[in-house]
Amino acid sequence: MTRLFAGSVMGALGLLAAEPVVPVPANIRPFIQNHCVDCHDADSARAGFRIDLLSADFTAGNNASLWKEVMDKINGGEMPPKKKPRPDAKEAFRVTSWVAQQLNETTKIAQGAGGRVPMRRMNRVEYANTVRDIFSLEEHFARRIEKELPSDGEVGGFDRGGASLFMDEGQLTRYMAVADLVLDEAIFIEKPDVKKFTWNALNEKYVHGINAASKDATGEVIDTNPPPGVVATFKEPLAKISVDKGLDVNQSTGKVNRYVPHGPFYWTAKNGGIEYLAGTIGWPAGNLRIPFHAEDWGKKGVNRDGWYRFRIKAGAFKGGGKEEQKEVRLFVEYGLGSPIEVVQSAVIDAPLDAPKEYVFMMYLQAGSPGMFRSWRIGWDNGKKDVVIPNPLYREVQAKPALLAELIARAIVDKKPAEFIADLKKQSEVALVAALENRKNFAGPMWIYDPKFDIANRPRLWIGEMNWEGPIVEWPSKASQTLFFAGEGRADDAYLREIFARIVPIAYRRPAAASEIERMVTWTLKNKAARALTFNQAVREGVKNLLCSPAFLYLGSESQVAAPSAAPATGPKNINDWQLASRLSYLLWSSAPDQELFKLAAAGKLHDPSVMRAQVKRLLADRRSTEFVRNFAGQWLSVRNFENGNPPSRNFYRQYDDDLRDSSKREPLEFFQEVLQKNLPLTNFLDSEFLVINERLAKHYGIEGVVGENFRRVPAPADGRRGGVLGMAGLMTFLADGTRTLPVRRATWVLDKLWNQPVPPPPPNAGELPAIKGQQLTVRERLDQHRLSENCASCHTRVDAFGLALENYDAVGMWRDRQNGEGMQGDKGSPLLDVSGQLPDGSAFKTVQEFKAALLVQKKVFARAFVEKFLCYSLGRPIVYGDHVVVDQITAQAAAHDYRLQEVIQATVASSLFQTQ
Amino acid sequence: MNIQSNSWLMSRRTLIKGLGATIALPWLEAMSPNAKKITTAGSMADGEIPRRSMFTYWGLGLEIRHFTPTDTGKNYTMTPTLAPLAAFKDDMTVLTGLTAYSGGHGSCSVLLTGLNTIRNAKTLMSVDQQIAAHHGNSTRFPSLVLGTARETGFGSPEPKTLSWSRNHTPITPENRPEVLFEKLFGSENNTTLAAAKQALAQRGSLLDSVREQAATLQRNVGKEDRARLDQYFTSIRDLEDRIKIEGEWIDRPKPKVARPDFGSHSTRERIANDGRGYSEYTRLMFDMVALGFQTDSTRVVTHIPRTERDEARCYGYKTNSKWDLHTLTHHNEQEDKLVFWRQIDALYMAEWAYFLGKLKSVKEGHGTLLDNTMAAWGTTNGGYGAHDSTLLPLILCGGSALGLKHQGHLVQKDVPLANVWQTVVSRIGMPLPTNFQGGVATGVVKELI
Repeated sequence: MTRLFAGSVMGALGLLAAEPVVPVPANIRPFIQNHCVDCHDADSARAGFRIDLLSADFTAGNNASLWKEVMDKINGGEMPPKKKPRPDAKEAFRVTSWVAQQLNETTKIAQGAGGRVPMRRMNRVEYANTVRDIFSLEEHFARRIEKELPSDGEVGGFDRGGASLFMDEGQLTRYMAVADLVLDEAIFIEKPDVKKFTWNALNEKYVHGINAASKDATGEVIDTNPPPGVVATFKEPLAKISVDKGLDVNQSTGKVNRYVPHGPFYWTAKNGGIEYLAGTIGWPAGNLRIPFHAEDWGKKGVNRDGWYRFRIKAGAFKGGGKEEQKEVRLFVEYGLGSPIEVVQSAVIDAPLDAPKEYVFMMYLQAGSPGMFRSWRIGWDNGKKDVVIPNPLYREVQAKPALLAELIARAIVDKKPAEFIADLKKQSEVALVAALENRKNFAGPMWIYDPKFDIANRPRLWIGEMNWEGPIVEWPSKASQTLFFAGEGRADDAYLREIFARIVPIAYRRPAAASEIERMVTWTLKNKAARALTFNQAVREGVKNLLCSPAFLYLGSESQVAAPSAAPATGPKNINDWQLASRLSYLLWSSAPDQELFKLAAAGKLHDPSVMRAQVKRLLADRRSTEFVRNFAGQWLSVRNFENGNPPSRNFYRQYDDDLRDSSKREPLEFFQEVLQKNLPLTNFLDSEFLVINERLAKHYGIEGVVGENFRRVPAPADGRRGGVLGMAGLMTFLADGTRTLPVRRATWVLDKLWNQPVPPPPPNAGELPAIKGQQLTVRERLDQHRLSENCASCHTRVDAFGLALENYDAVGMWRDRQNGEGMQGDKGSPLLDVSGQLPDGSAFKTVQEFKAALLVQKKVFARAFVEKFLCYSLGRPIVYGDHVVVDQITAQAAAHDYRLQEVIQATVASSLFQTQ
Repeated sequence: MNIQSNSWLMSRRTLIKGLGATIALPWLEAMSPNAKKITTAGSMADGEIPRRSMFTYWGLGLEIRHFTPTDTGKNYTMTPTLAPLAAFKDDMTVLTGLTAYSGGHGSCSVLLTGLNTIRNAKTLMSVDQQIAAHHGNSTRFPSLVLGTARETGFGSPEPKTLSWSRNHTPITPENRPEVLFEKLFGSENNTTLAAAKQALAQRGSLLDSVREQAATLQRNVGKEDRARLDQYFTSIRDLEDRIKIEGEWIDRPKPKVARPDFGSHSTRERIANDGRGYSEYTRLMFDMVALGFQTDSTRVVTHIPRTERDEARCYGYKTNSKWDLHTLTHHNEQEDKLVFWRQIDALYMAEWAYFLGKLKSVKEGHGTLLDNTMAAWGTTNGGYGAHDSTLLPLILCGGSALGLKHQGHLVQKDVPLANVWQTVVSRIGMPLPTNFQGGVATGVVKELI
């Protein structure tokens, strides 16, 4: 490390030569005096490093990097060197904490915008929503646009920070490409090529089955093996038996065949359709697929993204007696296993003899060239084979092989000769019997398994199916709005009128006549240069708008006020248009709507009561779900859930896709409840209700919740669930798929709920003692950190926050005993000890007590939440200089029980939100 | 085309002029099992062969004790982790003991810039971008920035890009091999040359317009915002430079390469869960890089085949490891964890071997594509596990026709990793940039040149 250090210090010294050295704080100085200066001053600059010349101005030169070295080496125990007197651990910790804090503040200052709200480009969510709303696009299409753009960087944990929303050649190129996509696929679309397909059972020509044949109308046998053969169907299905001259059942020549009745299929033609009997045969168990002749409707029919309508006539019988199942559910699957997968289902409640038509409207994507646009329908027909091979045939045929194996085994086991000879005799008898059986067996080849009450088995009947699509409005709504006077005109005046309408919408503010004229001039010039049609010219003009800074940069709405005036340098009130955008992008992640624009035009948005009413209106609007998705999605790390390690399905067998998907929704649904009902923030720490669905209820051991919808239910009285900390998705994310990660959980709590982020572990932390051969609990392993003083100073403050959550295992299930890491959580495993103490001294023995201790500090939590929300609202980190406003907002929230909407109102009304 | 006879040894420039619409490119001897065919012609004089560099980052490091050979020099004994690279023993140098300003999961940007930016400060230009600037417009694409995640990861605990531009902005990697293929070899949508030229002109015209709009905007905003708009101006300028390059290349059609089968799964799915698709995906990406080099579409590539997080669970299905890679690096000396870590190291190393094999299988000049490419396997997590920035390994492969003299296992205790890049830069034949790697580099690794 020495040469590395020297090199950079030389650089630092060079920079520092002319700068005054800002001294370290008084409480840090003694440590430096006692433990550093001896070796790192002018007399003996060990490793080329002089701490007396290292300024405490973290923003200058390389200082931040050098201070980080200092901190890391102290934390890692490398400095002071081992042979020197050891510093007091508490004092050392104070020094390193100071450095960490300074580094943090420096980061924020660098990312901040001098205390102002930075003008910044839209992030990808905002871009997608904005084009969706401006051009009345499909929600699905908007989400596709969002995914086309890469993920954005973060500031303070949110993707709304100006400092992380870079604009570079790549980004600008992508904006141009995405604009083309929007224009070509959603606005200036070609006339859709609508395809219609029909399937009718009566036209079904294939016979499905093994060794199948059948008699046609004239009584002639048509053999369909090997398939395919177009055969007259449904009449007297037959099975084929090869009759050999020889005795070897395995050497069928296939040349001499006879036919016996097939016996039941699990489907049969009936009433102009096909009736299926629940139960598989020869297919993988649980295979949903209904075998009708493979339809390539997906491949042929989906040529562009859009809505597709699928209609199917169906009826069902859900079974009787012990065969009854909950429901008969039909699944429609498109692109299964690919990124464009869409699965829908419907319960078939019409009876078999009175089927009705079921309609599926599906938004399907064409995907990229390689993607397989498969199309299937199926039902959950049970995992049992109800049609089985007739034992009278099969067992006789199987016997010779069985005996052959017994003989082989007997020879290996060196059984007595008579024993083997007897077996051989049996084998000969069996071979002859098999041959005779093949000659004489009268069938049927397949029978219903007598275990089942066949008459009462569930059945599904399907009849005619119809496909139609794409069902897309044409010309698009956006096109109709753009070409508001129809597509008949192509004069310059019309062009002017078109842009007079669209430019202000794109810019989110009134446009000066000169601005509109500039666009028109450019468009006309372009039109002439490229010999474009009127429509094409308008398209290019709109593309220009979508790439212009006034569109892409939020905060550029300031331009409308007196463009020629010199810009102010201090904070000033922003105009109504800026305010409208700030508000809509905060609560909708999208552009303002007509009502907000009207109020802005009337100059009313600076009126606090108008603003208050607007906040309420925007929150009540459906579009506020974007606020939940984006704010809560990042604050509660939901966006990252899929980046966590998936639970080992060997160890956590109950972890299925349903749980995974439900876990992603739970934090958002919970946040939505707190938001819409305007509940106190403290509910995030602990609550008397949960918002869950059936799958989560099963996971949490709660009875009486049925269905996949999320709904509010009372939290169990044992207090094990409530708030965000017991949520399965979060606990799974903060685990490694096998065992829990208490330190990661602790740092999450401290960062997200307390806004006191913990610095990362120092590099070269040195080795912890080996624990070879020991089976330790997670807590015991963490205790190893306490053996090192440097590690202990941080970990004693942090670990308790995560150890308190140990009752939630690696998939968020409640446990009283240790599981994971070789332990089963059974009676042989140790009981968990989740007790601990918070830095303020409050002790707890259970997670319920832990949550109660957190609630006692609700002021700390509320303040932390305000800071997080403010960071999200402003798009910059919250620094010490903001504390006045933070206090104000927190106080106002306190006066209203810390209700969430009050926090939002107070933030919007604050000076930071209302000024530049 | 009879490729056996010597009459095919023409200079590249001759071919470009002479054959018009067909392709004049280095010869592809062996093809990826995925690419179905490629039309090539001829070869180049040795002096004209491009000097390529490839920088890769493998998150979470290695089980360093099991990786590091006990002996040094050219005849060192290869360890089991290195065994997959046996065929390339003479084409590479294993450097151990290096050091960098790293440690922990947030430091991949240290690899090519030299300094850990503590997540925000103005980051230095990465060495790949400096090399790309040197190559200028000799190729259609100055550089390729690739990775398994299509995001910079800026501000998050784990950054996901190695490349930083001269404007202090992180460059978003591409992670979709099919998109990469389209970019390098895709058929242009415009049917005629005239139409393609007009489309470029159209772009230029649009950029002129938005620049004008930005100039107006800049006059009306405060100082801080003006600085932010500067990025927009820079983007326009860079894009205009790009268009100029494209204009120079527009007469030359892209190389004709048959489209491999990219399958129907998304990138995320390929490497998700137990990672069954990871090997296939990784090799597809390496195929694209190899094709990019041999068609001289680019001369410098960065790639992150394994970040600090996403691919941590790959190969679990092959080794039956209960734990993901991150957990294995926190092994606390437990043997059952160490065993899996070592196994997995070798499995990942096999992917690197695949890439080297691809390069070595292409004849170029008097040697192979590998001889003309310096490919680095690197990481910023070293030590015995977890968060260590010492004992960093780096495998520098290829480049022997560029003047690299491979030394087998070369111990470089406490030598800055940046020195290896200084060595690479010296072989590219470009002047050393000022403030190279933030002053961390102290010289070249003399043994290598």
